[in-house]
Amino acid sequence: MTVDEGRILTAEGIQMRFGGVTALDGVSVHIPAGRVSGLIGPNGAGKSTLLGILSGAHRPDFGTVRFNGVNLTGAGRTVAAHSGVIQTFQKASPFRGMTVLENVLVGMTNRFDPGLFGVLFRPRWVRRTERQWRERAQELLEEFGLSEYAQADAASLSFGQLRLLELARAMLAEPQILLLDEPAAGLNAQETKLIHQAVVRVRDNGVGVLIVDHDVRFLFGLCDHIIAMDYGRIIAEGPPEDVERDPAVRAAYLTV
Amino acid sequence: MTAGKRLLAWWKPILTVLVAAAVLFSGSSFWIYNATIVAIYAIAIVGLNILVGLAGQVSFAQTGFMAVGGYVLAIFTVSFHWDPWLALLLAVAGAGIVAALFGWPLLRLRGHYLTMATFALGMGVYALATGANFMGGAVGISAIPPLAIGPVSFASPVPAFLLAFGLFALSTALFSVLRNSPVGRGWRALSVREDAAASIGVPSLRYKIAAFALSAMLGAVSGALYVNFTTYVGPDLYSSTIIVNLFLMLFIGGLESPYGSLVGAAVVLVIPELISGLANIEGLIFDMVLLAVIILRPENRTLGRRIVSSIRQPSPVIGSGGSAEAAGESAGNERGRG
Repeated sequence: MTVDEGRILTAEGIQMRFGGVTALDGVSVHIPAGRVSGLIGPNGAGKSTLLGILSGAHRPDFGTVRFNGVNLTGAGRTVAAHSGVIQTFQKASPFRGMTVLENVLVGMTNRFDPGLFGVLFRPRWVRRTERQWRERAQELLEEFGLSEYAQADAASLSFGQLRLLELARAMLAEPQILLLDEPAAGLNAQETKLIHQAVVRVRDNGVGVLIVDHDVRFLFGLCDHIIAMDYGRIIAEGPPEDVERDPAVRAAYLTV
Repeated sequence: MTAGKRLLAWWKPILTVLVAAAVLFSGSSFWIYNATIVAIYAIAIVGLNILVGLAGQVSFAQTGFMAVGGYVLAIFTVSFHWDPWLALLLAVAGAGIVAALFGWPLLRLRGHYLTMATFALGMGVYALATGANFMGGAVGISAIPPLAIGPVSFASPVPAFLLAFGLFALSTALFSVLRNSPVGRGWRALSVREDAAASIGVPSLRYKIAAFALSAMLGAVSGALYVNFTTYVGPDLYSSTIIVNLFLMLFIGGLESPYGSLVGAAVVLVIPELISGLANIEGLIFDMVLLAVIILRPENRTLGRRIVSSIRQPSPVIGSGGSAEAAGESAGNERGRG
């Protein structure tokens, strides 16, 4: 495991209030590339809110989000994606009416812009580049065990396959930091294992991962680093075995 | 792929060419005239389909862009004595620019807010046309010089027919190329889950503006061709009933294929001609058949849902942050299994 100091998604002093409720109260996190971080906490601890802020979708009341020298605070998902920060969704979000392969190919937009001329006249360099992306997409489908469904409508996949498709789609967009919102929720053991393997593979390729999940066993078995939240604050942080023993964490979450 | 299968994959363009040829060689001025009008409208429908079918944005402004096409051609040829071809180019470019300028703020709106704003844009153009003297007011502008190459005038039946079908063929090619391009995949993705598309790098606002502008440019081509063919332009060509007709054509033709636009335009424009008016029992039957087709066509559920949700979508307004989330959630909820 290598932590690349230059590529750390950082959130500093994030504060977010909804009406009278403080969802996040001065939260700072560092998500380095090449490491799998897990975010745990009871319902309402502020995990999803934090994920939305890290992905650039929501602007916090106070605090900043940066990656690779780019200020992502409320910059929007597209800007975050271009700079390398990509989020997947808790609810499966296939692009219906498109094949599984096409779903994955959407991710190429993040790294490849042929321009209007390129789209309309498809010069040789555009065709060549598109072929390369197509091959990469096929590889990803292979990795995630989806290649036999490449030409099927994405909406016809099973629930577990949709989660895998979501991950494959995100991978084609070449993230440096991947934010996964409950990637294993509702999956069977076999599918959970595929997700586990995929995340390890991604990590070994130097991508930083942040996973939010309710399955503590899944997270502790997978993550290099755990961040525990409660009532909009971070209550413990460190290697899984330390966090697991932390009395505050046990009180807030593990002994429920 | 065998030769037979390859032929089968091309059945729509082949059938289109065969029918067009049959109409042309029939020599019937009624059919040639109507087929020309149908092809001209179909170009606007293909444009509308880029926006509604591919990018998933419901706009009621298409008549406005047809008006831009028609009026720019009329004014620049009649008042400023431009060459009609040059005026046509200006009309198309102008519609694209107007669409991009208005699209930049408007396309941040979602659901019924977008629909209402685009309707206001379309009706604004209509009101301008009715009121402005330089646009001929309610009387319109007549005796517009036709597009011509040497002695061949494209306002005369056969050349007009060929020009209309030629440009329709170009617009279908444009639709197909776009649909399977990275941009087309981005459009189709954002039409289903805008937040998910944005999170893997689809620049949704930029792509929506591009769809709006391209759609408007095809609308302007259609509008200019119509005015060139009939040598007349007036506000009645762009009233609110026309926009309803355009959506009727889109419904009947479907979102899947640009060739459907031709069928949609033909059904809406020609059948009423044949049964002479909709006030009698034939008209009632025609309307009921239309309704049945619209309801029973499976793919129309997508379009119907899009329009219904555009008319009554409760909360989301501005295209970022929580509203994107909410819009995405509702889009996710409506996903049917199997």
